[in-house]
Amino acid sequence: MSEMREDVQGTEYNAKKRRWIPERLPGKGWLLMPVLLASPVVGGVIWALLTYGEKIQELVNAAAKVGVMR
Amino acid sequence: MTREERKYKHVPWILRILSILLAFVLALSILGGAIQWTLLGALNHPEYYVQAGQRMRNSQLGSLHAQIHTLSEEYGFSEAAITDMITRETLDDYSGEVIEWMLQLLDRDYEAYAPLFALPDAEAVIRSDPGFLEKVDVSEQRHVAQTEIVYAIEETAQKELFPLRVQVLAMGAGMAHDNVDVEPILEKLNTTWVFPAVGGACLVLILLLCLRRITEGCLWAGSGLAAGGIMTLLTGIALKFLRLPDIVGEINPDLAVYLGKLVSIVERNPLYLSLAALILGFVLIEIYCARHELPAKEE
Repeated sequence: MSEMREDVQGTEYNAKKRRWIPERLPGKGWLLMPVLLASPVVGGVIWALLTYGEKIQELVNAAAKVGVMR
Repeated sequence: MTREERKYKHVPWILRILSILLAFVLALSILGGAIQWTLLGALNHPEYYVQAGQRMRNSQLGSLHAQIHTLSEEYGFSEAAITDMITRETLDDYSGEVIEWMLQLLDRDYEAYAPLFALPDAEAVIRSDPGFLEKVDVSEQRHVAQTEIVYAIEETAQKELFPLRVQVLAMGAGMAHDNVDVEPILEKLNTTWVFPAVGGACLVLILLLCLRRITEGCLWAGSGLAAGGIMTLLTGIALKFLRLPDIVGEINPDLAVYLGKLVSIVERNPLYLSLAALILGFVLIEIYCARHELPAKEE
């Protein structure tokens, strides 16, 4: 594959500069791109749950105390 | 320019970075849309709550019929006449009324009193029952039929069908309305098209930015879609780890069953949305990968 790209683009671009352009990465590796994009948000959600999880438990207990549940 | 040259035509870096940013915004809009859809499901579909209660309906009917049986043995009236009045349909209707009442607590002009479960003909039926007339003293018949039997059954039905104290809910709603203006928030939630519009715009922009090499557009658009699907799915799974029904179950097991079922119904459509985004996203990425692996042009 890389030889093919050298044939097609080698004369136009410096191969060193093109190291990270999409066609230089292994094809199936791109399937991981969505995971990369999603990771900041998923990390944030997990952090929020770890931080505020106990608060939710407290809220439910408070609701039980005021007699919302029969 | 040959076909192979066109295929490996370069998309400028700046457009590539913009495409990745747009893919991220697209993913966020899918997550936002899924959250909005979940909330709208919970607020605008009272039937979901009744549906969630179906799992408990048999046990509710069972305990009501058991109470009627005990009362009929105590006061001598015919059990069948009253049990026929309490069917799955009557419980569903009442449940629907209470849910509608609960959801309208979000309006400023809410009705403070919850609907009551009523058996309007039950008292007359009991008071004309020969067994009851024989067993209960004439001076007590009215009081017993009204309070000891009909009212007791109605109260049990109310407690069984709605595991929250309705008047405490109404008080809480009043306090909430004093502090927060809920209506504009709800109106915005109901009418906003921000998430689908932003998502659609990102998708179109990515494809336009990568017009010189449309398969790369597929890669970024697919990455955004699949990332949105992953975010939504994992957020749902993370929320499951909160074990909210279990926390509530320690206080009220019935409410926990109800809540668990309700969550699964309300989450259903956003779950389908996230799966669709995930599949479409990976198909688009695969289109890019498949093009990428085409054999080289022969010299």
